[in-house]
Amino acid sequence: MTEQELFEKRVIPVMNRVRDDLSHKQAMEAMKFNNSFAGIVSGMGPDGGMAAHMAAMDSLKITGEWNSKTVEDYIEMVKDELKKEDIRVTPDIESMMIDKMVRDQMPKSSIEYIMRKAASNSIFSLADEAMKSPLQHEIEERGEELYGPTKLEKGVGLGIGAAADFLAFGGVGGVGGALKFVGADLALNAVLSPSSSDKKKEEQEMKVIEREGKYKDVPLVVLPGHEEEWLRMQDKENQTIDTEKAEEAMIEALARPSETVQMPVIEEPAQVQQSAEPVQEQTARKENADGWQGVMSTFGLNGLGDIGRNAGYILAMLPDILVGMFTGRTKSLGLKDNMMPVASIIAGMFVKNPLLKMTLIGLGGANLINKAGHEELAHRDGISTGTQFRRYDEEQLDPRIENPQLRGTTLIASIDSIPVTVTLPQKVVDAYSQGALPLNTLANAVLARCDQMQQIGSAQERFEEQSRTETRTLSQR
Amino acid sequence: MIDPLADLDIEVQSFDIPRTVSVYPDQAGIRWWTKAWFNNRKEGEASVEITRELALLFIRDNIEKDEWLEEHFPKQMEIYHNAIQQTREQLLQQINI
Repeated sequence: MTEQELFEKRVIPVMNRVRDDLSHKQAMEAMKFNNSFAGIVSGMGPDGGMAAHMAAMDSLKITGEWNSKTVEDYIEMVKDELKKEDIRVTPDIESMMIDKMVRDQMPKSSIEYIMRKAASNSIFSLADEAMKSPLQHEIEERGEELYGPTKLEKGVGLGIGAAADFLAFGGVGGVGGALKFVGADLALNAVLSPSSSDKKKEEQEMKVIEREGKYKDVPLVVLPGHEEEWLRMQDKENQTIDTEKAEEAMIEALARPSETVQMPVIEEPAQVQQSAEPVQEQTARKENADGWQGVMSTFGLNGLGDIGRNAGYILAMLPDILVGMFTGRTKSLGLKDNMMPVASIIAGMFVKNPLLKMTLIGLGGANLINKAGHEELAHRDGISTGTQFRRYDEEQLDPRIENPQLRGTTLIASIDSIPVTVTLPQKVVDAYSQGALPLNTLANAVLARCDQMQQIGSAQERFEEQSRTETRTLSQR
Repeated sequence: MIDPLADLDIEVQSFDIPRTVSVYPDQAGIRWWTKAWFNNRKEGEASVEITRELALLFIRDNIEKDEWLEEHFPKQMEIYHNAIQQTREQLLQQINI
Protein backbone atom coordinates (compact mmCIF):
# COMPACT_ATOMS: atom_id res chain seq x y z
CA MET A 1 0.00 0.00 0.00
CA THR A 2 1.44 3.35 -1.05
CA GLU A 3 1.48 6.33 1.32
CA GLN A 4 -1.26 8.00 -0.72
CA GLU A 5 -3.51 4.95 -0.42
CA LEU A 6 -2.66 4.60 3.27
CA PHE A 7 -3.58 8.25 3.77
CA GLU A 8 -6.85 7.99 1.90
CA LYS A 9 -8.02 4.68 3.38
CA ARG A 10 -6.71 4.82 6.96
CA VAL A 11 -5.63 8.34 7.91
CA ILE A 12 -8.55 10.41 6.57
CA PRO A 13 -11.21 8.42 8.53
CA VAL A 14 -9.12 8.85 11.69
CA MET A 15 -8.73 12.57 11.01
CA ASN A 16 -12.48 12.97 10.50
CA ARG A 17 -13.26 10.97 13.62
CA VAL A 18 -10.84 12.97 15.77
CA ARG A 19 -12.18 16.25 14.30
CA ASP A 20 -15.81 15.31 15.02
CA ASP A 21 -14.90 14.09 18.50
CA LEU A 22 -13.01 17.32 19.24
CA SER A 23 -15.87 19.50 17.91
CA HIS A 24 -18.34 17.59 20.09
CA LYS A 25 -16.15 17.98 23.18
CA GLN A 26 -15.67 21.68 22.47
CA ALA A 27 -19.43 22.16 22.11
CA MET A 28 -20.11 20.29 25.34
CA GLU A 29 -17.48 22.33 27.17
CA ALA A 30 -18.97 25.60 25.90
CA MET A 31 -22.48 24.46 26.91
CA LYS A 32 -21.26 23.48 30.38
CA PHE A 33 -19.60 26.90 30.75
CA ASN A 34 -22.75 28.73 29.63
CA ASN A 35 -24.81 26.88 32.25
CA SER A 36 -22.28 27.57 35.01
CA PHE A 37 -22.53 30.56 37.39
CA ALA A 38 -19.64 32.33 35.60
CA GLY A 39 -21.36 31.83 32.25
CA ILE A 40 -24.72 33.15 33.52
CA VAL A 41 -23.08 36.19 35.16
CA SER A 42 -21.13 36.91 31.99
CA GLY A 43 -24.45 37.33 30.19
CA MET A 44 -25.22 40.50 32.15
CA GLY A 45 -24.10 43.91 31.09
CA PRO A 46 -25.25 47.29 29.82
CA ASP A 47 -25.26 46.02 26.22
CA GLY A 48 -27.27 42.94 27.10
CA GLY A 49 -24.10 41.11 28.09
CA MET A 50 -22.87 40.93 24.50
CA ALA A 51 -19.34 42.23 25.11
CA ALA A 52 -19.00 40.49 28.49
CA HIS A 53 -20.14 37.18 27.00
CA MET A 54 -17.73 37.51 24.09
CA ALA A 55 -14.89 38.17 26.54
CA ALA A 56 -15.89 35.14 28.60
CA MET A 57 -15.96 32.95 25.48
CA ASP A 58 -12.54 34.27 24.47
CA SER A 59 -11.20 33.38 27.88
CA LEU A 60 -12.71 29.87 27.47
CA LYS A 61 -10.71 29.54 24.26
CA ILE A 62 -7.55 30.08 26.29
CA THR A 63 -8.38 28.21 29.48
CA GLY A 64 -10.83 25.51 28.31
CA GLU A 65 -9.50 21.95 28.08
CA TRP A 66 -10.92 21.34 24.60
CA ASN A 67 -11.62 24.86 23.32
CA SER A 68 -7.95 25.81 23.73
CA LYS A 69 -6.82 23.12 21.24
CA THR A 70 -4.94 24.49 18.25
CA VAL A 71 -4.42 22.90 14.84
CA GLU A 72 -1.06 21.62 16.06
CA ASP A 73 -2.83 19.92 19.01
CA TYR A 74 -5.34 18.42 16.60
CA ILE A 75 -2.54 16.95 14.48
CA GLU A 76 -0.94 15.50 17.61
CA MET A 77 -4.28 13.93 18.59
CA VAL A 78 -4.59 12.41 15.13
CA LYS A 79 -1.03 11.11 15.40
CA ASP A 80 -1.80 9.49 18.77
CA GLU A 81 -4.86 7.77 17.30
CA LEU A 82 -2.85 6.56 14.29
CA LYS A 83 -0.17 5.24 16.62
CA LYS A 84 -2.80 3.11 18.34
CA GLU A 85 -3.58 1.60 14.91
CA ASP A 86 0.13 0.98 14.25
CA ILE A 87 0.35 3.61 11.49
CA ARG A 88 3.60 5.56 11.46
CA VAL A 89 3.15 9.19 10.44
CA THR A 90 5.90 10.07 7.98
CA PRO A 91 6.61 13.72 7.00
CA ASP A 92 4.80 13.03 3.70
CA ILE A 93 1.68 11.84 5.47
CA GLU A 94 1.83 14.86 7.76
CA SER A 95 2.11 17.09 4.70
CA MET A 96 -0.94 15.33 3.18
CA MET A 97 -2.81 15.90 6.44
CA ILE A 98 -2.13 19.63 6.20
CA ASP A 99 -3.13 19.64 2.54
CA LYS A 100 -6.44 18.01 3.49
CA MET A 101 -7.04 20.67 6.11
CA VAL A 102 -6.27 23.35 3.50
CA ARG A 103 -8.90 21.81 1.20
CA ASP A 104 -11.37 21.65 4.10
CA GLN A 105 -10.64 25.28 4.95
CA MET A 106 -11.05 26.41 1.34
CA PRO A 107 -14.19 28.50 0.81
CA LYS A 108 -16.73 26.64 -1.30
CA SER A 109 -18.52 29.64 -2.77
CA SER A 110 -18.25 33.38 -3.31
CA ILE A 111 -20.64 34.20 -0.50
CA GLU A 112 -18.77 31.95 1.93
CA TYR A 113 -15.50 33.59 0.94
CA ILE A 114 -16.93 37.10 1.26
CA MET A 115 -18.49 36.48 4.68
CA ARG A 116 -15.35 34.79 5.96
CA LYS A 117 -13.14 37.60 4.67
CA ALA A 118 -15.42 40.29 6.14
CA ALA A 119 -15.45 38.55 9.53
CA SER A 120 -11.69 38.09 9.65
CA ASN A 121 -11.07 41.73 8.70
CA SER A 122 -13.37 43.25 11.31
CA ILE A 123 -12.32 44.34 14.81
CA PHE A 124 -14.70 41.70 16.19
CA SER A 125 -12.28 39.01 15.03
CA LEU A 126 -9.22 40.64 16.63
CA ALA A 127 -9.20 38.26 19.59
CA ASP A 128 -9.77 35.21 17.36
CA GLU A 129 -7.06 36.28 14.93
CA ALA A 130 -4.60 36.84 17.78
CA MET A 131 -5.27 33.39 19.19
CA LYS A 132 -4.77 31.54 15.91
CA SER A 133 -1.63 29.44 15.72
CA PRO A 134 0.91 29.99 12.91
CA LEU A 135 -0.15 26.71 11.28
CA GLN A 136 -3.79 27.80 11.34
CA HIS A 137 -2.82 31.06 9.59
CA GLU A 138 -0.84 29.10 7.02
CA ILE A 139 -3.76 26.74 6.37
CA GLU A 140 -6.21 29.61 5.95
CA GLU A 141 -3.93 31.50 3.56
CA ARG A 142 -3.34 28.41 1.47
CA GLY A 143 -7.07 27.67 1.48
CA GLU A 144 -7.74 31.16 0.18
CA GLU A 145 -5.06 30.80 -2.49
CA LEU A 146 -6.51 27.47 -3.55
CA TYR A 147 -9.94 29.05 -3.93
CA GLY A 148 -8.44 31.91 -5.97
CA PRO A 149 -10.86 34.73 -5.17
CA THR A 150 -11.57 37.38 -7.79
CA LYS A 151 -10.69 41.00 -7.09
CA LEU A 152 -14.39 41.80 -6.72
CA GLU A 153 -14.85 39.11 -4.08
CA LYS A 154 -11.82 40.35 -2.16
CA GLY A 155 -12.98 43.96 -2.36
CA VAL A 156 -16.50 43.17 -1.20
CA GLY A 157 -15.17 41.06 1.69
CA LEU A 158 -12.84 43.82 2.88
CA GLY A 159 -15.55 46.46 2.35
CA ILE A 160 -18.09 44.64 4.49
CA GLY A 161 -15.49 44.20 7.25
CA ALA A 162 -14.60 47.90 7.12
CA ALA A 163 -18.28 48.91 7.18
CA ALA A 164 -18.87 46.73 10.25
CA ASP A 165 -15.92 48.43 11.98
CA PHE A 166 -17.26 51.86 11.03
CA LEU A 167 -20.65 51.10 12.61
CA ALA A 168 -19.00 49.63 15.70
CA PHE A 169 -17.04 52.86 16.21
CA GLY A 170 -20.28 54.79 16.46
CA GLY A 171 -20.92 55.42 12.79
CA VAL A 172 -20.26 59.11 13.27
CA GLY A 173 -19.36 61.68 10.66
CA GLY A 174 -22.09 61.18 8.11
CA VAL A 175 -21.60 59.76 4.65
CA GLY A 176 -18.27 61.56 4.19
CA GLY A 177 -16.93 60.11 7.43
CA ALA A 178 -18.10 56.64 6.45
CA LEU A 179 -16.36 56.82 3.08
CA LYS A 180 -13.16 58.14 4.67
CA PHE A 181 -13.17 55.42 7.32
CA VAL A 182 -13.92 52.56 4.94
CA GLY A 183 -11.44 53.95 2.43
CA ALA A 184 -8.68 54.22 5.03
CA ASP A 185 -9.45 50.73 6.31
CA LEU A 186 -9.31 49.26 2.81
CA ALA A 187 -6.10 51.10 2.05
CA LEU A 188 -4.53 49.77 5.23
CA ASN A 189 -5.64 46.24 4.40
CA ALA A 190 -4.22 46.60 0.92
CA VAL A 191 -0.88 47.83 2.26
CA LEU A 192 -0.58 45.41 5.15
CA SER A 193 -1.68 42.24 3.36
CA PRO A 194 -0.08 41.92 -0.06
CA SER A 195 -2.05 39.94 -2.61
CA SER A 196 -1.02 36.49 -3.77
CA SER A 197 0.22 37.89 -7.09
CA ASP A 198 2.45 40.29 -5.14
CA LYS A 199 3.79 37.36 -3.20
CA LYS A 200 4.60 35.49 -6.41
CA LYS A 201 6.45 38.54 -7.66
CA GLU A 202 8.38 38.73 -4.41
CA GLU A 203 9.30 35.08 -4.78
CA GLN A 204 10.52 35.76 -8.30
CA GLU A 205 12.58 38.69 -7.09
CA MET A 206 14.08 36.58 -4.38
CA LYS A 207 15.14 33.99 -6.96
CA VAL A 208 17.08 36.60 -8.96
CA ILE A 209 20.33 36.62 -7.13
CA GLU A 210 22.80 37.76 -9.73
CA ARG A 211 22.94 39.04 -13.33
CA GLU A 212 25.68 38.64 -15.82
CA GLY A 213 26.83 40.16 -19.10
CA LYS A 214 25.29 43.41 -20.27
CA TYR A 215 22.68 43.26 -17.52
CA LYS A 216 25.23 43.25 -14.69
CA ASP A 217 24.58 46.95 -13.96
CA VAL A 218 20.81 46.46 -13.82
CA PRO A 219 19.63 46.66 -10.17
CA LEU A 220 18.19 43.51 -8.63
CA VAL A 221 14.87 45.24 -8.00
CA VAL A 222 14.18 45.22 -11.75
CA LEU A 223 12.10 42.15 -12.58
CA PRO A 224 13.66 39.52 -14.85
CA GLY A 225 12.65 40.19 -18.47
CA HIS A 226 12.45 43.93 -17.90
CA GLU A 227 16.20 44.57 -18.01
CA GLU A 228 16.13 45.86 -21.63
CA GLU A 229 13.34 48.25 -20.79
CA TRP A 230 15.26 49.56 -17.81
CA LEU A 231 18.42 50.06 -19.89
CA ARG A 232 16.45 51.99 -22.53
CA MET A 233 15.02 54.25 -19.82
CA GLN A 234 18.45 54.81 -18.40
CA ASP A 235 19.77 55.81 -21.86
CA LYS A 236 16.94 58.32 -22.29
CA GLU A 237 17.58 59.82 -18.87
CA ASN A 238 21.26 60.10 -19.54
CA GLN A 239 20.54 61.90 -22.81
CA THR A 240 18.21 64.34 -21.07
CA ILE A 241 20.77 65.02 -18.37
CA ASP A 242 23.44 65.65 -21.04
CA THR A 243 21.17 68.12 -22.84
CA GLU A 244 20.37 69.92 -19.57
CA LYS A 245 24.05 70.13 -18.73
CA ALA A 246 24.80 71.61 -22.16
CA GLU A 247 22.02 74.16 -21.76
CA GLU A 248 23.24 75.16 -18.28
CA ALA A 249 26.75 75.60 -19.64
CA MET A 250 25.41 77.85 -22.41
CA ILE A 251 23.39 79.96 -19.98
CA GLU A 252 26.40 80.32 -17.70
CA ALA A 253 28.55 81.43 -20.59
CA LEU A 254 25.95 84.01 -21.67
CA ALA A 255 25.23 85.28 -18.18
CA ARG A 256 28.82 85.84 -17.09
CA PRO A 257 29.11 89.53 -18.11
CA SER A 258 25.81 90.54 -16.40
CA GLU A 259 26.51 88.63 -13.20
CA THR A 260 25.94 91.65 -10.94
CA VAL A 261 22.53 92.26 -12.44
CA GLN A 262 21.46 88.71 -11.73
CA MET A 263 22.39 88.82 -8.04
CA PRO A 264 19.13 90.32 -6.78
CA VAL A 265 17.18 87.82 -8.87
CA ILE A 266 18.90 84.99 -7.04
CA GLU A 267 18.31 86.60 -3.65
CA GLU A 268 14.64 87.23 -4.23
CA PRO A 269 13.41 83.67 -3.83
CA ALA A 270 15.45 83.37 -0.65
CA GLN A 271 13.70 86.40 0.80
CA VAL A 272 10.33 85.07 -0.17
CA GLN A 273 11.20 81.77 1.40
CA GLN A 274 12.30 83.49 4.61
CA SER A 275 9.08 85.44 4.86
CA ALA A 276 7.07 82.33 4.04
CA GLU A 277 8.54 80.31 6.86
CA PRO A 278 6.96 82.18 9.79
CA VAL A 279 3.59 82.02 8.06
CA GLN A 280 3.90 78.26 7.84
CA GLU A 281 4.90 78.11 11.50
CA GLN A 282 1.96 80.26 12.49
CA THR A 283 -0.42 78.05 10.54
CA ALA A 284 1.03 74.96 12.15
CA ARG A 285 0.73 76.47 15.61
CA LYS A 286 -2.84 77.51 14.97
CA GLU A 287 -3.74 74.01 13.78
CA ASN A 288 -2.17 72.48 16.85
CA ALA A 289 -4.04 74.81 19.18
CA ASP A 290 -7.37 74.13 17.52
CA GLY A 291 -6.91 70.38 17.33
CA TRP A 292 -10.45 69.52 18.48
CA GLN A 293 -12.10 72.60 17.04
CA GLY A 294 -12.62 70.98 13.66
CA VAL A 295 -14.23 67.88 15.15
CA MET A 296 -16.48 69.94 17.43
CA SER A 297 -17.54 72.17 14.52
CA THR A 298 -18.34 69.09 12.42
CA PHE A 299 -20.88 68.02 15.03
CA GLY A 300 -22.25 71.55 15.43
CA LEU A 301 -20.80 71.78 18.93
CA ASN A 302 -18.50 74.78 18.51
CA GLY A 303 -18.47 77.02 21.57
CA LEU A 304 -19.88 74.24 23.76
CA GLY A 305 -17.61 75.54 26.55
CA ASP A 306 -19.81 78.66 26.85
CA ILE A 307 -22.78 76.42 27.54
CA GLY A 308 -20.77 74.46 30.13
CA ARG A 309 -19.70 77.64 31.92
CA ASN A 310 -23.29 78.93 31.98
CA ALA A 311 -24.89 75.52 32.60
CA GLY A 312 -26.90 76.82 35.56
CA TYR A 313 -28.37 79.68 33.56
CA ILE A 314 -29.12 77.48 30.55
CA LEU A 315 -30.85 74.85 32.72
CA ALA A 316 -32.84 77.55 34.48
CA MET A 317 -33.90 78.97 31.12
CA LEU A 318 -34.67 75.55 29.63
CA PRO A 319 -38.46 75.83 30.18
CA ASP A 320 -38.32 79.26 28.53
CA ILE A 321 -36.39 77.79 25.58
CA LEU A 322 -38.87 74.93 25.19
CA VAL A 323 -41.90 77.22 25.38
CA GLY A 324 -40.09 79.53 22.96
CA MET A 325 -40.02 76.68 20.44
CA PHE A 326 -43.80 76.90 20.16
CA THR A 327 -44.17 80.66 20.49
CA GLY A 328 -41.38 81.31 17.98
CA ARG A 329 -39.15 83.17 20.44
CA THR A 330 -36.44 80.48 20.29
CA LYS A 331 -35.41 80.95 16.68
CA SER A 332 -32.46 78.54 16.61
CA LEU A 333 -34.65 75.47 17.15
CA GLY A 334 -36.55 75.74 13.88
CA LEU A 335 -36.98 72.40 12.13
CA LYS A 336 -35.40 73.69 8.94
CA ASP A 337 -31.95 74.21 10.49
CA ASN A 338 -32.09 71.17 12.73
CA MET A 339 -33.00 68.34 10.41
CA MET A 340 -29.77 66.42 11.07
CA PRO A 341 -29.74 66.59 14.91
CA VAL A 342 -33.45 65.72 15.07
CA ALA A 343 -32.93 62.88 12.58
CA SER A 344 -29.97 61.71 14.68
CA ILE A 345 -32.11 61.60 17.83
CA ILE A 346 -34.97 59.80 16.07
CA ALA A 347 -32.53 57.31 14.51
CA GLY A 348 -30.99 56.78 17.96
CA MET A 349 -34.41 55.84 19.33
CA PHE A 350 -34.72 52.95 16.89
CA VAL A 351 -31.13 51.69 16.89
CA LYS A 352 -30.50 48.64 19.07
CA ASN A 353 -26.71 48.93 19.37
CA PRO A 354 -26.23 50.74 22.70
CA LEU A 355 -23.01 52.44 21.60
CA LEU A 356 -24.66 53.79 18.48
CA LYS A 357 -27.80 54.75 20.41
CA MET A 358 -25.82 56.81 22.93
CA THR A 359 -23.80 58.48 20.21
CA LEU A 360 -26.77 59.39 18.02
CA ILE A 361 -29.03 60.66 20.79
CA GLY A 362 -26.17 62.31 22.74
CA LEU A 363 -24.70 64.19 19.80
CA GLY A 364 -28.11 65.22 18.46
CA GLY A 365 -29.20 66.49 21.87
CA ALA A 366 -25.91 68.28 22.51
CA ASN A 367 -26.20 70.00 19.15
CA LEU A 368 -29.70 71.31 19.93
CA ILE A 369 -28.77 72.44 23.46
CA ASN A 370 -25.67 74.16 22.09
CA LYS A 371 -27.69 76.14 19.55
CA ALA A 372 -30.54 77.09 21.88
CA GLY A 373 -28.08 77.82 24.73
CA HIS A 374 -26.07 80.21 22.62
CA GLU A 375 -29.23 82.00 21.58
CA GLU A 376 -30.31 82.37 25.21
CA LEU A 377 -26.86 83.65 26.23
CA ALA A 378 -26.90 86.15 23.38
CA HIS A 379 -30.34 87.28 24.53
CA ARG A 380 -29.06 87.78 28.08
CA ASP A 381 -25.89 89.59 27.00
CA GLY A 382 -27.92 91.80 24.68
CA ILE A 383 -29.86 93.18 27.69
CA SER A 384 -26.80 93.68 29.85
CA THR A 385 -24.64 95.43 27.28
CA GLY A 386 -26.92 97.06 24.76
CA THR A 387 -29.27 99.11 26.99
CA GLN A 388 -28.65 102.75 28.01
CA PHE A 389 -29.48 103.65 31.62
CA ARG A 390 -30.04 106.97 33.35
CA ARG A 391 -26.94 107.79 35.39
CA TYR A 392 -27.26 108.47 39.14
CA ASP A 393 -24.74 110.31 41.33
CA GLU A 394 -23.06 108.74 44.32
CA GLU A 395 -24.97 109.48 47.56
CA GLN A 396 -23.97 109.18 51.18
CA LEU A 397 -25.18 105.94 52.71
CA ASP A 398 -28.10 106.32 55.11
CA PRO A 399 -26.86 105.36 58.63
CA ARG A 400 -29.89 103.07 59.05
CA ILE A 401 -28.57 100.76 56.37
CA GLU A 402 -25.22 99.06 56.96
CA ASN A 403 -22.75 97.10 54.89
CA PRO A 404 -24.69 96.73 51.60
CA GLN A 405 -23.32 94.07 49.25
CA LEU A 406 -24.61 93.07 45.83
CA ARG A 407 -24.30 89.44 44.70
CA GLY A 408 -26.02 88.62 41.43
CA THR A 409 -29.49 90.07 41.74
CA THR A 410 -29.49 89.99 45.55
CA LEU A 411 -28.59 92.89 47.81
CA ILE A 412 -27.59 91.95 51.35
CA ALA A 413 -27.57 94.60 54.03
CA SER A 414 -28.62 95.32 57.59
CA ILE A 415 -31.55 97.72 57.93
CA ASP A 416 -31.92 98.96 61.51
CA SER A 417 -29.43 96.23 62.48
CA ILE A 418 -31.69 93.52 61.06
CA PRO A 419 -30.17 91.46 58.21
CA VAL A 420 -32.24 91.60 55.05
CA THR A 421 -31.92 90.19 51.54
CA VAL A 422 -33.45 92.19 48.74
CA THR A 423 -34.10 90.66 45.32
CA LEU A 424 -33.60 93.36 42.70
CA PRO A 425 -34.92 93.55 39.13
CA GLN A 426 -32.43 92.65 36.37
CA LYS A 427 -32.44 96.20 34.98
CA VAL A 428 -31.20 97.56 38.34
CA VAL A 429 -28.34 95.04 38.41
CA ASP A 430 -27.46 95.84 34.79
CA ALA A 431 -27.42 99.57 35.57
CA TYR A 432 -25.15 98.88 38.57
CA SER A 433 -22.78 96.71 36.48
CA GLN A 434 -22.63 99.42 33.79
CA GLY A 435 -21.67 101.97 36.48
CA ALA A 436 -24.85 104.03 36.00
CA LEU A 437 -26.11 103.33 39.51
CA PRO A 438 -23.68 103.57 42.48
CA LEU A 439 -24.16 101.03 45.28
CA ASN A 440 -24.87 103.62 48.03
CA THR A 441 -27.51 105.31 45.89
CA LEU A 442 -29.05 101.92 45.17
CA ALA A 443 -29.02 100.99 48.88
CA ASN A 444 -30.69 104.29 49.84
CA ALA A 445 -33.36 103.74 47.18
CA VAL A 446 -33.97 100.24 48.49
CA LEU A 447 -34.25 101.56 52.08
CA ALA A 448 -36.77 104.19 50.96
CA ARG A 449 -38.79 101.56 49.13
CA CYS A 450 -38.68 99.25 52.19
CA ASP A 451 -39.99 102.02 54.41
CA GLN A 452 -42.72 102.74 51.91
CA MET A 453 -43.71 99.08 51.85
CA GLN A 454 -43.57 98.90 55.66
CA GLN A 455 -45.83 101.92 55.97
CA ILE A 456 -48.33 100.35 53.65
CA GLY A 457 -47.95 97.09 55.58
CA SER A 458 -48.43 98.72 58.99
CA ALA A 459 -51.40 100.77 57.75
CA GLN A 460 -52.96 97.56 56.60
CA GLU A 461 -52.16 95.95 59.96
CA ARG A 462 -53.75 98.84 61.82
CA PHE A 463 -56.84 98.59 59.68
CA GLU A 464 -57.01 94.85 60.36
CA GLU A 465 -56.52 95.45 64.10
CA GLN A 466 -59.29 97.98 64.18
CA SER A 467 -61.67 95.65 62.47
CA ARG A 468 -60.86 92.86 64.97
CA THR A 469 -62.97 92.75 68.14
CA GLU A 470 -60.51 90.86 70.33
CA THR A 471 -59.32 92.43 73.54
CA ARG A 472 -55.65 92.76 74.30
CA THR A 473 -53.63 93.15 77.49
CA LEU A 474 -53.15 96.59 78.92
CA SER A 475 -50.09 97.34 76.87
CA GLN A 476 -48.29 95.10 74.45
CA ARG A 477 -45.86 95.77 71.61
CA MET B 1 -32.82 105.67 28.20
CA ILE B 2 -34.13 103.56 31.08
CA ASP B 3 -34.43 104.76 34.67
CA PRO B 4 -33.40 101.74 36.73
CA LEU B 5 -35.04 103.06 39.92
CA ALA B 6 -38.38 103.87 38.33
CA ASP B 7 -41.17 101.66 39.69
CA LEU B 8 -38.65 99.81 41.81
CA ASP B 9 -40.11 96.39 42.35
CA ILE B 10 -38.22 94.58 45.08
CA GLU B 11 -38.74 91.57 47.23
CA VAL B 12 -37.50 91.96 50.80
CA GLN B 13 -36.83 89.16 53.21
CA SER B 14 -36.06 90.17 56.77
CA PHE B 15 -34.22 87.87 59.15
CA ASP B 16 -35.38 89.46 62.40
CA ILE B 17 -36.35 87.43 65.47
CA PRO B 18 -39.89 88.23 66.65
CA ARG B 19 -40.04 89.67 70.15
CA THR B 20 -43.06 90.85 72.11
CA VAL B 21 -43.08 92.71 75.42
CA SER B 22 -45.90 93.59 77.78
CA VAL B 23 -46.54 95.33 81.15
CA TYR B 24 -49.29 94.43 83.63
CA PRO B 25 -50.28 95.25 87.26
CA ASP B 26 -51.71 93.18 90.12
CA GLN B 27 -55.41 93.30 90.86
CA ALA B 28 -54.98 96.31 93.16
CA GLY B 29 -52.90 98.12 90.57
CA ILE B 30 -50.05 98.65 93.03
CA ARG B 31 -47.32 96.22 91.82
CA TRP B 32 -46.29 96.15 88.15
CA TRP B 33 -44.47 93.56 86.06
CA THR B 34 -43.08 93.29 82.53
CA LYS B 35 -42.94 90.06 80.50
CA ALA B 36 -41.28 89.27 77.14
CA TRP B 37 -41.68 86.59 74.50
CA PHE B 38 -38.81 85.85 72.09
CA ASN B 39 -39.09 83.97 68.80
CA ASN B 40 -42.83 83.38 69.32
CA ARG B 41 -42.23 80.99 72.21
CA LYS B 42 -45.45 80.25 74.04
CA GLU B 43 -44.08 80.27 77.60
CA GLY B 44 -42.24 83.55 77.42
CA GLU B 45 -39.50 84.80 79.70
CA ALA B 46 -39.85 85.11 83.47
CA SER B 47 -41.65 88.37 84.50
CA VAL B 48 -39.61 91.21 85.93
CA GLU B 49 -41.13 93.56 88.54
CA ILE B 50 -41.01 97.24 87.57
CA THR B 51 -42.08 100.49 89.09
CA ARG B 52 -45.41 102.10 88.27
CA GLU B 53 -43.57 105.06 86.72
CA LEU B 54 -41.67 102.84 84.31
CA ALA B 55 -44.88 101.07 83.39
CA LEU B 56 -46.48 104.39 82.58
CA LEU B 57 -43.49 105.32 80.39
CA PHE B 58 -43.96 102.13 78.41
CA ILE B 59 -47.72 102.53 78.12
CA ARG B 60 -47.29 106.07 76.85
CA ASP B 61 -44.76 104.95 74.26
CA ASN B 62 -42.09 107.08 75.81
CA ILE B 63 -39.50 104.34 75.56
CA GLU B 64 -38.33 102.22 72.60
CA LYS B 65 -39.18 98.55 72.66
CA ASP B 66 -35.57 97.34 72.19
CA GLU B 67 -34.33 99.83 74.80
CA TRP B 68 -36.90 98.43 77.24
CA LEU B 69 -35.84 94.86 76.45
CA GLU B 70 -32.12 95.70 76.83
CA GLU B 71 -32.86 97.09 80.28
CA HIS B 72 -35.12 94.39 81.63
CA PHE B 73 -34.05 91.30 79.63
CA PRO B 74 -30.30 91.88 79.00
CA LYS B 75 -29.30 88.18 78.78
CA GLN B 76 -32.02 87.38 76.26
CA MET B 77 -31.08 90.43 74.19
CA GLU B 78 -27.43 89.35 74.14
CA ILE B 79 -28.48 86.00 72.72
CA TYR B 80 -30.72 87.84 70.25
CA HIS B 81 -27.82 90.03 69.03
CA ASN B 82 -25.58 86.99 68.63
CA ALA B 83 -28.23 85.19 66.61
CA ILE B 84 -28.69 88.22 64.33
CA GLN B 85 -24.93 88.51 63.82
CA GLN B 86 -24.73 84.80 62.99
CA THR B 87 -27.57 85.13 60.50
CA ARG B 88 -25.79 88.03 58.79
CA GLU B 89 -22.56 86.02 58.49
CA GLN B 90 -24.40 82.99 57.14
CA LEU B 91 -26.16 85.11 54.53
CA LEU B 92 -22.89 86.62 53.35
CA GLN B 93 -21.27 83.19 53.22
CA GLN B 94 -24.14 81.74 51.21
CA ILE B 95 -24.07 84.57 48.71
CA ASN B 96 -20.26 84.48 48.40
CA ILE B 97 -20.46 80.82 47.38
